[in-house]
Formats: sequence, structure tokens, C-alpha cells
Amino acid sequence: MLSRFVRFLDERTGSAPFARKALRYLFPDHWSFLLGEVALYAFIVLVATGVYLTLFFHPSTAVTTYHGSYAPLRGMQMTEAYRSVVDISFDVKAGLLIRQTHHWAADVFVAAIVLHLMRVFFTGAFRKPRELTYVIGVLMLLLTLPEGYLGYSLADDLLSGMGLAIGYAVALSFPIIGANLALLIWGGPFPGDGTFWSRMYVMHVFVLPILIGTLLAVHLALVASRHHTQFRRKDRQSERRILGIPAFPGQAPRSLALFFSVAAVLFLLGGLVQINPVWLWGPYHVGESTNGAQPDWYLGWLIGALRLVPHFDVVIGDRTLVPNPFWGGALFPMVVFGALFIWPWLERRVTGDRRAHNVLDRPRDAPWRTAIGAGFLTWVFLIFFAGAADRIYVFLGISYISQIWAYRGLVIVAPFIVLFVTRKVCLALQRAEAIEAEQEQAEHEAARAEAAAT
Amino acid sequence: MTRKRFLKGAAGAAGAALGAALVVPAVSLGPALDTESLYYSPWYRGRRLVDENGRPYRADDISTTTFYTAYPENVDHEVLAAPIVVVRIKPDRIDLPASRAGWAPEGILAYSKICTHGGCAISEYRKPLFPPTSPEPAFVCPCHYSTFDPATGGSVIYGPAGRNLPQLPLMIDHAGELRAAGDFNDPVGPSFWGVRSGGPT
Repeated sequence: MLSRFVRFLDERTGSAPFARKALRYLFPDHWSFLLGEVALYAFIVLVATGVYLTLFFHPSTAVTTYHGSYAPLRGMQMTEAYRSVVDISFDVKAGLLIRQTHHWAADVFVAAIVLHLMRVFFTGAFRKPRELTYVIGVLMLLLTLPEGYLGYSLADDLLSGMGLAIGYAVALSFPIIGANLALLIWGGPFPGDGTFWSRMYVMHVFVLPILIGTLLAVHLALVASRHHTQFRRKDRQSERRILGIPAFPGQAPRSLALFFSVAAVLFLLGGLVQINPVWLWGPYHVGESTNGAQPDWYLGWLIGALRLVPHFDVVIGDRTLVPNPFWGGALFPMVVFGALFIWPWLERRVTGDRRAHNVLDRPRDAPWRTAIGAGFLTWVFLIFFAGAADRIYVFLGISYISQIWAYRGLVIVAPFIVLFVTRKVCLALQRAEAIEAEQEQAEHEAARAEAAAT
Repeated sequence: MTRKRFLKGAAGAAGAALGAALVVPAVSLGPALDTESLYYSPWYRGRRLVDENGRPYRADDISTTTFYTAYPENVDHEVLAAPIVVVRIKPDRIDLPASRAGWAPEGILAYSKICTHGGCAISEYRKPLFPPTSPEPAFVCPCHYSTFDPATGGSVIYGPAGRNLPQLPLMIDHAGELRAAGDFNDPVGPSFWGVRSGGPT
């Protein structure tokens, strides 16, 4: 039966040689290679749940009165967009499960990409011949941020409206062209004309997902064509030798199990752990806002940066060259992503290492890279945590103002301390290893001498 | 000219023409060059202040213990310059610039509700700093904690905002109701290239 099916396919597509190669593809046998797979499976869950949500969501800002089953909102004026999200949550069977799973999957998706990126960075997997794979990966991470932002903005609840207001302020803050840019995007001054919601919608459900999906396919094709990188193993490893387990029967069932696990965890989260209860926030109005507002975690670094910048606009004559939100909301992410994009070439220029690398470094093998990466991460994560200073004030009572001053100092000093310490640790680990190897060798020789003597 | 160079030039010209042609549909997205709408305000002398249900505010409604959100009468509330915050402060505490004499009848002051940093609405009126330095309440935006002092003309006393909160001059009519006595002193909302230029140019 199976062989007849395979023959049917092969005779019509000529796929047998390709399939044979694919089934024999060797996967490295280490858990850290699965982080990217987690992101891939979260993306599949996102697409599946997202398509379901489009069947019920209305991307419209037409004003309507709520008559659904959630009593506290009944009789309230709201947009079609917000009403349809409340309806999905209360009146569509399984709607809330799918909506919350979609939201959780987005959070896990970005987290998995970031962890995957850290693995790739700290092991030097981005080096020749894999720079393109790496750049496409960073580009996908960059695209997931507006994708997620637009996703929770579409709901038109109070929190999402506040997020859009900040996005508008950041667009306005671009030097010289900001006002024109913001008016083009919003179709007029905030909160935008009637076409703005359809613009967000088509970006969120069509343009960005297609871009991410296409880049994903190219990313995977490049991984397979250059083959996975390998961790160094004693004695048996060389740059030209591949060790691992075959796609079939080794990796395929593992990978399938990982897919089911990711999907199971996401649906469990979606079913059991409340996320973004939009019916509690209420509909957005320009003149309303709420305290304790936080974006989804992957935009936390931007709110932190916006809050850390001291109050000033750069003014020349009667022209405002750099409005304040530009520093934290635009320049900061541009610097972070700029650094990520150019790193492979920067490292190559500094080290002068132009060879191809299929065997990975361990973090200690490249002390400077590991140290700079750790310092960079410290910088971004401190700014991320600064965005949560108001929550710390609520929970622990530490003055918000003192926290912000502490963070302003820390984001300048701490990265360099971490960089210095990390480099020392790497070098110490290298030395310890050299000593251990020496010891082993000596023991070996002693044992041999003893054996010879008896 | 060689054939290769000719073809290269032709391809370049075709690409440039195509790029230029894309500008036309792109400018349809919004008022690309005309930024006048960013300076729009529905307020003018005589316009009544109403609450979110359209009920006019009387001067006697305004107590010193809280803040009130008001809108211009008969105007869409979803316009950025529409919502304002109204507070009453003991007149001896008020320290406005000399040019704003008479803007705060009976110690009642009105400011734009939209933060000049991120564009969120101000939703708090509380003691922002440590009691010894600032015993009186001020406006706080919950997005990035920009804090504005109503007693001194909406000046920034904390947080990332780079511009003071625009103030709306008030008057009390013969019926005791609050009305605007003019327009804001400054454009409402987050800063942009021309925000300090005194109007659309």
C-alpha cells in the first residue's frame, strides 16, 4: 500500500532521489537545536488559530452598541472591532480558547526565536557559510514585533489604543519627516481615518505573515543546503564530517512529538491561563487610559527605553528636530537590530577569520564574542526590566523615581562589568580545561609506566 | 556606446520611472505634505465644556479634591484635541506665566488631556514625587509617567515629556457654566517637526 503510493508519487514527480536524501539528512543530537523548531511549531499554531479568528473578527471602527452576553459592557458604545473580539471571547464556542491560544503562541513564538538566536550567536553558528541564514533569521525576528503589535492593537480595547497612541508618537518623532510619515500611516491625525483599521488588518493577517512564512521557507532551505552545524566531539570531529541522527527513523518522530508538545502546551495555556482579558479593559477612547499598562513582553524593552530617557526635545530655532520618543522608540531598536545584522561581518573583520566553519564554538572558545554578547544582552534586558519598574513599585514599594535613576546608571555601567567578568570566566574555563587535559595525560602516562614496571 | 552599456542605462531608466510611478499611489495613503491637521483644535472662545454624556460643567461642580474630564460641546470626542482635564486649585498657589492672566477663573484650570510625549490620556491626578518636594497633586500619564504641574501652566516636573501640557483658557458665563475663553496656547499631542513653529506653515 505504502510502496504503491510512493511509486505513484515518484513516477509523477520524480521525488525519490530527493526523498531519499531528505530521509537520510543527519540532525545534530543536541537539545539546543530544537529551539528553532519550537518557533516553527508555534508559527504553525499561530497560522491555524489566526485563520480561525479571521472568520469572526470585524476589522471596522464603525460604532455600534453592545448587546452580547457579557453584562458589564451591555449598552456601551464601541467599535465593531472591539465588539467582535468580545463576541469571540463570550459568544463564539471555543472562541476564547482559540483567541488566548493565539496570544500565548505569539508570546512563545518570539521567545523561542530569541532563545534560538542566542544559541546561534553564542556558538558562532552564524559564521561562514551561514551568514545569510542568520540575517534572514534576524529579519524574521524584526518582522514578528510589528506582527504581534498589530495583532493586539486590532482588538481596539483600552490597552491596545494606548499602544497605538505611543506608536503614533514614535512615528511623529522621526526627525523632519515624522509628521508626514505618521499622517501617511494613519491616513490623518490620530486615531486615524476609517481606512486605518483595514490597513492594520491586511498587514497583520496577510502581508507580514506571508513575509515571515516565505523567509521561514528560505531559512529552512538554507539550513538544509549548508547542513546543520555540529558541536565538537572528542577525536571524531572534523569540519568535513557530519555526525548525528538521520531524519528517518531518528529525528522525524522526535520532531513530530515536539510539535504535538508545543501545540499541547499552547492550547493548555490558552485554555487555562487567562491572557489579555479585553472585556476588562473596555473599549478605547482618545480621552481615556488606565494605570499599570504593560505591552506584551516582546515590546517591554521599548517601553523601558521610552521611560528611561530624560525629558527633552532637541529644538533648533522653532523646529523640533528630535522629539523625545525617537530615542527610546525608534533609535534604540534600530541600534539593537543594526548590531545584530552586521555582527557576522564585524566579527570577521576584527578576527580576520574568513574560513568556513561547520563545527561550533562553545561560548568559552570565543571569549570576546561571548563577553560582548553577554554585555549586549545585559544592556537590552536591563532596559526591558526598567519597563517594569512601575510594577516593582506596586509589588515591593521601591520608589519608581529611584528605580529609574538606578537603571539609568546600570544600563551604562553594568554591560561593561558583565563583559569583563564573562571574558574572565571564559578564559578561566579554558585554563581549567587545559589543566584537566594535562592531568589526564599525566595519569595516563603514570598508569602506563606502572603497567610496564610490573 | 556599447550594447551592454545601453541596456544597463535603459534598465536603470525603467527602474527609476517605475519607482517614481509608485509615489503617486503612495501619497494617496494620507495627507503626506499637508500637516495642517496636526494643529487642529475644536476649541474656541465661548465653547462650553461638557462631560462625556454631554452635560455642561458648572464652575460649582469643580472641587479641589479630584480632576474632571471635559469635552467641547457637540464635537466628536475621538479628536485628539477634544478631551481636557479640569481642576480647581487654591488661587494663591497658582503661578501662571504673565501672558496667561485670567485663564483660571476662581482657580479653575483646564489642560489638554493628551500627554505631549506618547499621546496617551492623562488618567491620574496624584502626588507624583516625595511629599517634602511636592506636596500637591499633579497630572500623571500612566504610559511613561510624564508628570505635569497644573499650578505652573502644565510644566513638566517628571518623566520623559519634552513639552508642557497645552493650556486652555477658561471663563465662567452668567449661568455659572464653564466655557473656553480661546484656544490652546500650543498644539495638542506628541511633538513633531513643526510643533513649536506657531502653526501650520
